[in-house]
Amino acid sequence: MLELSGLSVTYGKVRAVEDIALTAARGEAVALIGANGAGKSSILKAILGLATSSGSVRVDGTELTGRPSHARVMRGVALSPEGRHVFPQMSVLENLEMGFIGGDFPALCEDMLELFPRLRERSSQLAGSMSGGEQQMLAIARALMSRPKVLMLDEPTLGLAPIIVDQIRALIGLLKTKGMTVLLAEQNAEMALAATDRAYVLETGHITATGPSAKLAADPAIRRAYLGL
Amino acid sequence: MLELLLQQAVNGLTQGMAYALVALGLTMIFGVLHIINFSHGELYMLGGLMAVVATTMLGLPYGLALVLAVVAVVAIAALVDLVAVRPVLPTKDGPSTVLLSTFAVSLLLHQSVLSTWGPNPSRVEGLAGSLSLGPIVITNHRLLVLVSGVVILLAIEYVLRRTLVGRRIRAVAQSEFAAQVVGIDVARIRTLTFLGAAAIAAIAGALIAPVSLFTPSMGQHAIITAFVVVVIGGMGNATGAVVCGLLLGLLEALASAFMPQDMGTAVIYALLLIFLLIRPQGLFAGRAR
Repeated sequence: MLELSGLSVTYGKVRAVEDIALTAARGEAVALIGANGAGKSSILKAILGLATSSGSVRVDGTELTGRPSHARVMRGVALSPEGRHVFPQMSVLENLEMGFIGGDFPALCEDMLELFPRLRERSSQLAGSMSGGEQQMLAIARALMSRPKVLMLDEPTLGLAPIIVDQIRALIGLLKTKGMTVLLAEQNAEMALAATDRAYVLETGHITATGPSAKLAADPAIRRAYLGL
Repeated sequence: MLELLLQQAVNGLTQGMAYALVALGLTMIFGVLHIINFSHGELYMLGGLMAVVATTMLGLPYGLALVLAVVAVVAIAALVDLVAVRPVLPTKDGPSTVLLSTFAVSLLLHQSVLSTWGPNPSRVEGLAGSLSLGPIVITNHRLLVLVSGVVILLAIEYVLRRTLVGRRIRAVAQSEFAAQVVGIDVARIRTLTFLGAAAIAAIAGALIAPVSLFTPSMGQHAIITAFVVVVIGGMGNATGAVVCGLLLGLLEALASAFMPQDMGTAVIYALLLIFLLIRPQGLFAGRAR
């Protein structure tokens, strides 16, 4: 279970996120929706220790605040970052190895290649030479290599074809059934609300609405502001 | 004439191997830490000094002197990392400030050795004997430098491509952010790279000291030449550093055969200027890390 309380994120003198409280249970998918610059990515980075923050971040009751990012990954947090950030001059398999932190590497690798058959075809190809959709699959697979309790997906559908978006949505459903907590930050509110159980709406670093995703998707104000309806 | 050229080529390749090893360390540090370690040349000089101390003062065999040089220089480099790199790097304009802090360390090391050891060249006993290949004579020690250099370069290539720690070093060089995201201990990788580069510099210094004599100023010449090599080869590019290091050594030696003494060095600086004007990204820019 992921619990955030009193989380604030700052960049120099600018406060990007202020006093956020958020929970996501085991086997639950939670969306963070909001416009560009609302603070979604900042929250994910703060959870992984990649942004200057205050407040509390707990995973299964363990306080992560103050720990470096590599220690947080060891504690079960993984991120597929916005823009993919694969290692461009490494092969698919080498990228997967970089996400591996322990256990049976060949078996885990096989799991990922089964989950993403396209990566098996590209296993020895340099990641930098793959398409955006393939790189996104690789970024998610690389994050899953650490067998996380909490998987954070930052704008995973940005600029991708509808078929890939559908695959990512199906993947979130699959990961939930395996007991994983999924935290999804998306500008594509329609997809995010369809793929998750609950959602938080962010505006300029503050949570302005929260509730079941289906209920938020039916809310006229949310529909006008984020779904363009 | 041909004999002279061939002999100079052998001599140049020997010196070029030392340049390549120093430049390789410098470029590895730049690629992974994104800093210019100005004290790197003095670590090379200290490698030479340790070889002198071990062989002439302690009477140790040359092989043991090489080991002592590496251990001592890595210990000093750890101190440099602790004092002049780690606390400075996270500050505002960290990489620029590290250039200055390591420059200060460079002056400190150079002046300390100069004031205690004196400016005169010191001889180091390397491998005795020589090998004749037709008109060319190669001393056994020059052969040792060349063979050791190749072995070191192959070992580095093996570590970077075939071991987990090597692949993690490459990962940090390709994207520090992505490396943090996947849980690589970036601080540990930085330290390993810094110390690994220092070890290579120490071996290079200890290897070349019997060829060109030890002087406290050998580090200053080495760092400037290594900068030229790194700029021409492409910042952060290992292949570029090795190829250009060897070529520069060769060019310097061949130029010295036809021009007044020290003009070979002038040719190198002229090359630097030309490359900065026409190809500032270096010859091997964009190649695999």
